[in-house]
Amino acid sequence: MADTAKKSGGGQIIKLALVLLAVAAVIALVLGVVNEITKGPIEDYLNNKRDEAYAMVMPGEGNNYEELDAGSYTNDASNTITKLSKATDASGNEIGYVAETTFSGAQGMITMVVGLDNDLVCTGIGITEHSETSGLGAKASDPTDPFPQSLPGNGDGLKLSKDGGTIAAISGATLTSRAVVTEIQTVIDAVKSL
Amino acid sequence: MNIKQQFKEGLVTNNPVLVQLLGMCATMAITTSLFNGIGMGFSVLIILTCCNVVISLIRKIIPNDIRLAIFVLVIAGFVTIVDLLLQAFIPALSESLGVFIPLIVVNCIIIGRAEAFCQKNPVGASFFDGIFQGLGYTCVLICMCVIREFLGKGSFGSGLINTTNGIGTGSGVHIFPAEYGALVLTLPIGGFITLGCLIALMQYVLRRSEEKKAAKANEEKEAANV
Amino acid sequence: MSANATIIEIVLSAILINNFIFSQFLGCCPFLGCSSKLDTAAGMGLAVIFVMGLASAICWIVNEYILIPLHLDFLQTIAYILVIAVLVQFVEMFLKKSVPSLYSALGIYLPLITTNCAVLGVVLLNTQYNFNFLQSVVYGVTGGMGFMLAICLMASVREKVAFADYPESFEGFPVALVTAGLIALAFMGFSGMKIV
Repeated sequence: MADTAKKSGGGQIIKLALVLLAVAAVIALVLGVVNEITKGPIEDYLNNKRDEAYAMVMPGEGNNYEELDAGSYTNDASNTITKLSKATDASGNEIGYVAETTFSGAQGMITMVVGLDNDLVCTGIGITEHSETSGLGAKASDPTDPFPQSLPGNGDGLKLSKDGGTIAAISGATLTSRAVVTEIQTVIDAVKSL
Repeated sequence: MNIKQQFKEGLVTNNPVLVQLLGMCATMAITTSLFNGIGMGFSVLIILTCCNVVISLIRKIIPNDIRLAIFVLVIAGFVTIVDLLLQAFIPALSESLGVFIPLIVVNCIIIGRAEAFCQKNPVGASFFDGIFQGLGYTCVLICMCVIREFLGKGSFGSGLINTTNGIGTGSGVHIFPAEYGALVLTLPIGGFITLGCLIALMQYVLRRSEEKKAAKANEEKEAANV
Repeated sequence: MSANATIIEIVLSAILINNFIFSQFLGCCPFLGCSSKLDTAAGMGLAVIFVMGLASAICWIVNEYILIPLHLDFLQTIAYILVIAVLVQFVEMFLKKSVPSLYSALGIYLPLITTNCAVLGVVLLNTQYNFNFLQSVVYGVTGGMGFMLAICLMASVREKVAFADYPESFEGFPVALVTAGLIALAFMGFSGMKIV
C-alpha cells in the first residue's frame, strides 16, 4: 500500500491522510456521544454491585460505612486491601469492618469484599470480579456453594484443612480456596493493627 | 446473488466458522454457557451488519491504498459502541465475555467479509450478507454452547432460564447433576475438541451431499446412455 | 496477575501457566493456519514475539501519556488497533529494506499479524492488569514466546499426525483442533504452578 502512495507523490499522501483523518474524526465524535450516554449507567451499575456485596457480608439495613485512612492500618506486603471501612448500623452502633480487596487467585485477579464483626470473626465474603476456572475455582463466587458458606464464623488464624485448619477447600481448586482464606486473614491482620 | 442463496451460504455452505474457518478464538473461548453464546453471536451479528452497510456505502470514496486502515477504523468504532452499550445496559454479559468483546475488532469474519464482499457489492446485498453470516456464526456458537454445557455441567440454558436476579443470573435447567459432568469440556481443551468434531461433521455432511449429487448425475448419464 | 506481579511471575505465567493459545484462546487463527510446517511456524512465532513486544511498549506510552490525561480511555480499542496496524506496516517496510532475507522468510505472515488477536489481546490485558512499562514489555515479549512455543509444538506434532490414520472427515482442520485440545490438556498441568 505504502509503495503506491510514494510513487504518486506528496499530494496523494496528503489526500490519503486527510481521508483517514476525516473518517477517524467522525468515528471519534460518534464514540464521544455514545460514551456520554453510557457513562452514567456504567457507574450506577458498579456502585450497585458494590452496595450489594456490602449488604451480603454485613447483615441489617441502613448500615453506614466510614472509610478508614489507608495509613491507619498495616496492609500486607502486596497491598491487596484497596479500601477498609468501619461499619455502623442504623442506630449508630459499631457492628464491624468491611474491606475491599484485590488479590491474585489461581488464574487471575480476584476482587472480593470481606466482612468482619467486632470480634474479628468473618461475617461473609462477596466476590465481585474473578477469572477463575468455571466449575472449579469459580465456585468461590457462587454464594450457594458450600465453600463460601463455610467461611462465616471463622476468626483469626483460619486455615484450610489441608494446611492444618478447619475449612474444606473447593475440590480441584485448592489454590483459589487458599488465596481466598489467606486474604481474609490479611484483612483480619489489618483490622488488628488499627 | 439472491437472498435465498445468501441465506444458505451464510448458514451452511459458506458458514463463517465451519467452512471459512474464521473467528475461531472467540468461538472456542466463550462457548461455555448458552447466555454467552447468544450474547456473543448477536454482538457479532450487529457489528457485522453495521460494518457491512457502512463499508458498502463508502466503498466508492475509499482510496484503495488505505482501505484496510479505514475498515479497521470503522470496525473498531462499532465494536467500541457495542462494548460501551453492553457495559451500560447488559453488564452481566459484558463481564462474562470480558476481553473478547473488544477483541471482535480482530475477528477475521468482519474484516474478511468487508474485503471479500462489501467492497464489491451494493448496500442491500451487504446488509443481508451481514445478517446471514452473523446468523451462521451465532448458530455455531449456540451448538457449541449447548454441547459443552450439557456434557460438561449437565445443564441447559444457564444464564437465560430460571432467571432470579436480572439478566444473566439464571441457573438453567439441570438435566443431570453437575458432579457427573465431564468438566474437561468446559475447559479450553473442550473448546478445541468440540469445534474439531463439529467441523468434521460439517465436512462429512458436505462431502455426502456432493457424493449424492455426483451419484445422481451419474445415474442420469447412464439413463441417458441406455 | 496483578499490578504488583514480579517479573518472574509474569514470565512463567505468560509462557506456561496462562499460555495465550492453550489457556486464553488468543491467536488461534494464525496458530491453526501457520502450523502445518515447523519452519513457517518458527518464522511466524519470531514475528509475533517482535510485534507483541513493540506493541506493548508503544501502546503503554499511548495510553499513559495521551489517552488517560485527555480522558479518552473509551478510545483505547481504536487507538491500540491503529498502533498495531501502523507498527506492522513499519516492521514490514523496515525488514524489506534492511533484512531482506528475514522479510522473504516471513512473507505473507507479517501483514497477518495485524489480525492476530494475541497482539491486541496482550495490550488490552496490559491495560486491564494496570501493568507498568517494564511489566507490559515483559508480558508482551514472553506472551509472544508462549505463542511461539505453542505453534512450534503444534507444528512438530502435526508433521507426524499427517501420516496417522484418522477418519476421512477429520482431514485438515478438525484433526488439528483435536491435537491442539490434547496439547492444551497437557498444558493444564502447569495451572497448578504458583510462585510464592
